[in-house]
Amino acid sequence: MEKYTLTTRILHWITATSVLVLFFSGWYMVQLDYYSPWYTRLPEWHIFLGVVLIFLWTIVIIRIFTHPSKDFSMSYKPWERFLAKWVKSLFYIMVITMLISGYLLTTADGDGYLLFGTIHLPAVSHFSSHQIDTLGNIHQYTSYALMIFVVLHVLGTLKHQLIDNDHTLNRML
Amino acid sequence: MQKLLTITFFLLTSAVGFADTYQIDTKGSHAFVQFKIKHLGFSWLYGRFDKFDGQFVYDEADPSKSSIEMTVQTGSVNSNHTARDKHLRSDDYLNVDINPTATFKSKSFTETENGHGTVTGDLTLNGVTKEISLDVAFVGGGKDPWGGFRRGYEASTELTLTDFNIKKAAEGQTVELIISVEGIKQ
Repeated sequence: MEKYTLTTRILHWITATSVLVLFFSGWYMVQLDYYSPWYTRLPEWHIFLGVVLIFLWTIVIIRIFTHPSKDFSMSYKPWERFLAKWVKSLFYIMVITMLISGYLLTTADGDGYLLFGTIHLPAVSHFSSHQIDTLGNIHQYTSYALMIFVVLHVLGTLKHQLIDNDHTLNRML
Repeated sequence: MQKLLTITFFLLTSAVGFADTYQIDTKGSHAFVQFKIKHLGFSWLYGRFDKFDGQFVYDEADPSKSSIEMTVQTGSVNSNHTARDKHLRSDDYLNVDINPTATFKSKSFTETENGHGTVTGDLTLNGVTKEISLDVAFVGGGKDPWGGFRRGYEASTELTLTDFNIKKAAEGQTVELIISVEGIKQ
């Protein structure tokens, strides 16, 4: 069985973990009580991990063009190939949407954001309150859509592993 | 009959003449809707609403006939902190998508001395209407340098946030409202 390249596999698992940690930390931090010690700390770590993912995702996107992964899809049925292609493309687009909206929200006051008191994240623009609320909604609802796709992605993997008994999962391990 | 009509006419016009309507000068921004609330019990946090309008009627002959109506755009809340303002607009606090305006409509005004007094009326905030009273301080009034006539007041009151179903408000948490208006006689 031929696997994906080591770099692809490492990037896949690191970005996958980051996306999940970002989702659950974001979901949890907005519900934190004002008096929780995590009220200011968790959003800061969430932003930090988001910035890390911006760099990693840039590499992922560049590699789509420079190192296209080997096409294993010929072994699958046409509808599986069709679904896989679209789910994958939407994955890329949704993560990009999350990263951009998150960054713009963080720096929305036009003054940039000082992460951990040292790293300065420059502001792109100053946004009106209406635009900020729209960005917030985009960030929130895209994250839910993204999680639905994560679930579909995992279900697909389980189907290949348990029902089709092919090497789909093993190629990424 | 002629006489009766003349008297009625005079009564009506004189009543209108004394009860002057003043447009709150939001255009020249000589009016402010501000609040202050304690942060952790350590300090005062000040904020304001940037967009609102309204008008008041002041009856010199019978001040008890005076009244005021104001509408505040809750989405214009500004506490000089982008992330906090976003949170204040959300359903945790002002719920501005569902309740984009807060209104105050007076029901009575009691003038004490030097133009000061108390105004009572219905405040609708976050969709909840409740009768409140505000202490009114008369600041000044008279001809302005540009041919108009103005009157200015500052009113303040304390609100209990849970009275207005503010979701994230702590039990018994209060906010002080300070409304400063200058009206231009119409």
